[in-house]
Amino acid sequence: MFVELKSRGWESELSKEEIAVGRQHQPKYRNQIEGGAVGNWDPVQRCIESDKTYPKFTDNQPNLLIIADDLKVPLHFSLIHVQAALFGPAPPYPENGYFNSSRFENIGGLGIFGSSSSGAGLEYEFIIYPNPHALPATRLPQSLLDKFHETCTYSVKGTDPRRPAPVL
Amino acid sequence: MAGTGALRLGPAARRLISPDRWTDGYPGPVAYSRELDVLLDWASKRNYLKRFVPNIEAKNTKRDEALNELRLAYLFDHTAFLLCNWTRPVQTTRSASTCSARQRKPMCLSN
Repeated sequence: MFVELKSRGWESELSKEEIAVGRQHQPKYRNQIEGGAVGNWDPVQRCIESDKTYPKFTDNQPNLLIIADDLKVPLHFSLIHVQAALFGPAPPYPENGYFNSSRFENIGGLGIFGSSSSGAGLEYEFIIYPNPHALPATRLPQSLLDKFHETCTYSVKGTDPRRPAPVL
Repeated sequence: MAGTGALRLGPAARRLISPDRWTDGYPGPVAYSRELDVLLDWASKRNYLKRFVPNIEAKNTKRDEALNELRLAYLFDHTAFLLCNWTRPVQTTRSASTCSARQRKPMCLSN
């Protein structure tokens, strides 16, 4: 199985006006309160259709695209937007879901990866959305889908700050 | 030789990498410092360090990309999916430079 990892950053969400004034050189979250609309289906679709992404997937092997993002509102906190990007109808969404047709049939599925810190250490979260219109050759192994068809949470051992550091 | 940023690092990271090009205060909280140690220790035991260290020591954005790659590899390894190859099989119809550019990130899995 072939895996391609994409790391979209919050800088990709900036408008031309924000880039012109150098917002990308400032911290992701500034001290002041920032707000605004969130439509995370857009970065998901832009990532899938990118010339740097889709052409890498051939039609002769299982292919998995994974997005590990650094967006202002992370994808693993807005999975309903990911689902809209893949399976949502247009309208109300700007574009029909990218897994609603064979347009991206070389992609067997999309994985969303994220990590977060709680008081008990770091956790990884990972989920895979299979593409029902993938070619037979590009579909993902059932064993992988069985494991990650719902959000899988993995606690990283040794990262709990309440416990002694592991001896490495 | 590690710079002053190394004060933030755990023992494995201090031993294996230099954070001199980082500008954002990473790893910050203890949990992230320990995570970096865990990931580097795991990569060292799997002989993956040669692949990862240059990118982890790079500037913030490239470092974060490398860390995500390492996190995913660690997750797959700990959920019974074997990482069998870091690079995509080279297609002979592509130019060497194209192949080289495309071999950096992809990984192949089996189980």
